[in-house]
Amino acid sequence: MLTPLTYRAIPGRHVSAARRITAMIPGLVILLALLWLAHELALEERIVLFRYLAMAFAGCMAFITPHMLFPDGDKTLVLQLNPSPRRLFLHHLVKLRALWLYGLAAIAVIAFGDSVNPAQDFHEKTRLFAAGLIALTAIILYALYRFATIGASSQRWNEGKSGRRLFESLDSVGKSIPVDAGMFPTFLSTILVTFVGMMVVVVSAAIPHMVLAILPFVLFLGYSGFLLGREIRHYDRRYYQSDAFYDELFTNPATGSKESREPASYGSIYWVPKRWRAAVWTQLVQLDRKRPMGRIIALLSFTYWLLIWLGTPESWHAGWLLFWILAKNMLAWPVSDPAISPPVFHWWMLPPRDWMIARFFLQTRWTLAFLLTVAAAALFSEAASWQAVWMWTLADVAVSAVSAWLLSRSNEFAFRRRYA
Amino acid sequence: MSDFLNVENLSKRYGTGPMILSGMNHHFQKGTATGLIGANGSGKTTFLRLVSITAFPTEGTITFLGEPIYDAPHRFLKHIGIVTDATDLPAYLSANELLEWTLRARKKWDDSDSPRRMDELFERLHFDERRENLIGTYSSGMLQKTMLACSLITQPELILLDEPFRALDESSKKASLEMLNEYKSSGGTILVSSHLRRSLAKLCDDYITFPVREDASSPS
Repeated sequence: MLTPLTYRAIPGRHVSAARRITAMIPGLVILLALLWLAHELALEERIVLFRYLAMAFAGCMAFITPHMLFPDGDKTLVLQLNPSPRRLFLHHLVKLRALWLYGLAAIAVIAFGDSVNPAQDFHEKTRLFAAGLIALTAIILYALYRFATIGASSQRWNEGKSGRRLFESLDSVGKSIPVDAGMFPTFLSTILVTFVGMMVVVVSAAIPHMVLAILPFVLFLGYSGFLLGREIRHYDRRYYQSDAFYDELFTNPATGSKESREPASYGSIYWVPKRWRAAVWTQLVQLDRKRPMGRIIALLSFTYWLLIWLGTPESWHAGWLLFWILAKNMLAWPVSDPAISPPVFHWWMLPPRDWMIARFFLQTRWTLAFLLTVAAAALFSEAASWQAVWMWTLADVAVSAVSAWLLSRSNEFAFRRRYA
Repeated sequence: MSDFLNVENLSKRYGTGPMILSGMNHHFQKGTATGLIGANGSGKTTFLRLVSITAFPTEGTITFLGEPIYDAPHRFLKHIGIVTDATDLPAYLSANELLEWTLRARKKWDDSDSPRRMDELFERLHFDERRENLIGTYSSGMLQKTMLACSLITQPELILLDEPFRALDESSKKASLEMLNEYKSSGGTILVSSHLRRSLAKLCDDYITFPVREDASSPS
């Protein structure tokens, strides 16, 4: 018999404890890395680190929010249960909850992770934590507002009803925007969330008084809350329209629109031994259709060089490289979904161990790019040594191997355990 | 003109591709069953997606009892049941639990009456003791029976069915048709798609044919 506690919620899909713990590992590693960075910092340095984290959080939410929300894997259940607009809004908040909690944990580490004088400046540290709580909440709510309400405009752009003149005029001068028309509102929202989030941090940094410096975050939270508050009554319309748009874009291959990028050809996977080449190719093509991996890798590399150019501490470079490796591996996790890797079909094509090897090749596809990224730092700056280049590359290979094992364990090996 | 479910000038394209539906107009009467007939890819599922608010139209509107359905999806969805070929139901619930959940979420649970109605429904759908097993272990036929049960148990005013008989055995198909006819007789309205007209002959009062798309054209 269901209890009120179970029937009232709209839970996500059942996820095993092992998978939950596995998913938490990268976050925990990042928190530990942050603690290592922050444990000996003075208060002023903590405040600076908090500002960088808040800006990074804004950038992260700008990219990740539509992927967290849409398309909703619980859609069939949502249609059956028909939650009210308010409950749909809560459903979305719950989907972003983990990110908020991780962000808060990071702020807590920065504020209170002091191994030298834990009790010193306690009031100021508490104020810093409060500022972080307000800032992160405001950023998440603003990101939710921008992406949850994007369906109507996105559909207009996707069907050519909006933006036609812009694209035609760019075409006429031989220029183009590197996104599909339908993604243009998402592209704009990504820029807005990043920019507004960062600007609020910059404005706060410009206020010398520590208490008043929280005010921009408070105002931002009020503004985000106001924007969302206006939408809650009609949140069902926003939810269904945005979900319908992203569902068409992400999961319906028959959109009728030409792919903006040619999929990788079989021949381009020449570097994979023949036995696994077809498997790697099919996984790679599908992953590329789901995520613009090339652009993400370019952004990760560019950010690393930017950190060097800005003269940030070396520990930050190491932290970013670790993030680079983890992000690259985590972004490939959709390949273990049955939608991309149907277990029965995979079982028919290759044994599970071969799928694990295929995924290792998939994950190491960007290892050369990573090596060149760090090598460029070694060549043109003193930020990295050549020894570090090889060590980091080996680390990437090792994490790729672990990632390939985890992905295959949750799909092909799990299938074999269940049925073979 | 019926005020029940009206489709006016409905068009749909995905991205900037060809029109799947173009300028569709139809008035659905209450208490009738309409078969949506057509070959694969002719737009039947797209139409059902538009009515079930899993897709939004390029042009045109659909009104239910005079109100545009896209303005307040939650209000419209209270009146409908949906049976699709989607199989992403919660794998770790049983069919019983899913039905109970659906009834409670839609505020239609009654401690004294609902368990009995659920049992009756499952009996008629030839859903045996496996209704207590987890949905993750179900065959495609059992999944469809579960979705049909979910739709019927809430006694909606409109049921949308997308290829509902495809995975069912003959006796289950017969039982489903009986129940849908009873539902229709009690005033319910049905939109059902199939590429097999014969399956629908015992249920439907009217048909809409979706032509094979050489170019965009309106269904007749």
